[in-house]
Amino acid sequence: MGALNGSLSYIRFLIDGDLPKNPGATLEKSLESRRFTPLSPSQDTAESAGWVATEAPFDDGRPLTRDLFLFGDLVVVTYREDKWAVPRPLLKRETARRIQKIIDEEKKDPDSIGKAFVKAVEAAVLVELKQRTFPRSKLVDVVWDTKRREARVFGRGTIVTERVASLFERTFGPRVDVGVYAARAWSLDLGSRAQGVLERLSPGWLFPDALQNAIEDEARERLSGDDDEPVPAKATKAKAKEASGADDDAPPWDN
Amino acid sequence: MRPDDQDKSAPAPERVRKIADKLFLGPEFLTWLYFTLLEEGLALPRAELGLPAPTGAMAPDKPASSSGDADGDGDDQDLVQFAIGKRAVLKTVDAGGARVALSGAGLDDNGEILQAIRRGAFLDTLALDMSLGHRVYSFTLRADDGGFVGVKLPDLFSEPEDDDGLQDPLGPPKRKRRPKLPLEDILALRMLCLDELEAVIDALFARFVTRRIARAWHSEDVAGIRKAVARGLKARLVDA
Repeated sequence: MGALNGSLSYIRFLIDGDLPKNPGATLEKSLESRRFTPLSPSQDTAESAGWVATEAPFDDGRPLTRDLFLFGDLVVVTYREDKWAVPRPLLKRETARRIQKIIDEEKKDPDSIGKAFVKAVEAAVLVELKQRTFPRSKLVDVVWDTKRREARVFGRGTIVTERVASLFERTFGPRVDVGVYAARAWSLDLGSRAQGVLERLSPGWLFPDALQNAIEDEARERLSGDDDEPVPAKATKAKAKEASGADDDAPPWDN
Repeated sequence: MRPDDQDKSAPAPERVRKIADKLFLGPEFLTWLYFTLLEEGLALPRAELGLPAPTGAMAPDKPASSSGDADGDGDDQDLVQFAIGKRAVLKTVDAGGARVALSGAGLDDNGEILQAIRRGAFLDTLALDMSLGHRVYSFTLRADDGGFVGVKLPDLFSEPEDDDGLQDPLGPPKRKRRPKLPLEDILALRMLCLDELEAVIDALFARFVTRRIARAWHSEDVAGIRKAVARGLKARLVDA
């Protein structure tokens, strides 16, 4: 799902700011300090995240020089997030097996094994399991069009809207907003009067009777409660009107 | 709730509140777009969308013949043509959040879409195909985050085939040769395509917002959608 090949899935970010005066040197420094650091099996850290070069996202030792991320008006980098993914049941089983081996070899009393010992064995087993596996990697390409003040982020979900957005702001400086349609509406050049109308705009119903029917059904159910007495239609309509908070500005629907 | 159980968190910034208040514009836009495209015969003039005439890298591969449009290319260049894709998701905007997901061909004339809209749902996801001259794009629009999903770009990288006429019609299709381009060129071409696609969608969205805040929204646009839904559902009743 990257920017360079295959079909593209992305979210647009609106960037509230420009490139620094000397983008090459400034961004090189800023990106280098937030470059991805690979995970090591012996470390306690469960995950690591940072920027890598889009051209070579798994080339861990490669510094992020300007020729790798600055292409005219475009700043192109990749967010990489690695996470150890050792299944918990596997870790438990391997730990139990190792403890059993220790009991058998050292002729230990199983009751003498305390929680701290189990934890220490589990930590050792975890390191061994990490050495036998690879961390799970997620890559999200980011293409910042500095001229248009927009960025395309080739990913979805919270990794994009929270983690990438946050790292982007810390690295490059300008504030970012997800380019939802609502944000785009505010950025349109509409004029002050139209902006005022937009400000007062509330959700419109194409078929308000559908809403009315749903509210009436709900009100009827609530009013009827446990007793089986029928509820007069007038009462439900009044309740429905109250629940809907009838909008005085609403147009006169012609149903 | 306890008397001291009060929300003491800082209020959301004005900017965030303003956007959050208007999130309904996404589903409304996709719903309006679906009916507007059908109403306009799935083709809109480039000029109406404020798009410039094709030039440079985005110019057509074959220039239209000066002696008229024997193959219709000249007209095609002035139009942005659409087709409803194979996926649509509708959601109600109330607390219930009922969802209808449809996939497959024929979504441009689909009773389930009309029925869901009649019951208060809006389009949340809509797949579209779009052609600008010889370039065809396939993509899915999402109402919630304004994102594009599964965008398939036109083939701008393969070299033109050798038209020697010797290809066996029953044999396997010839593989197109893809030149090895530097990263910078690949990026530039792909981003240029996305710029073009976004320019069309942004122009349509600007048109929607202009309509939405106008007095005529209810009397023209909403009335038009309601008529289209009523007509479609009635036709199905008669057919049944």
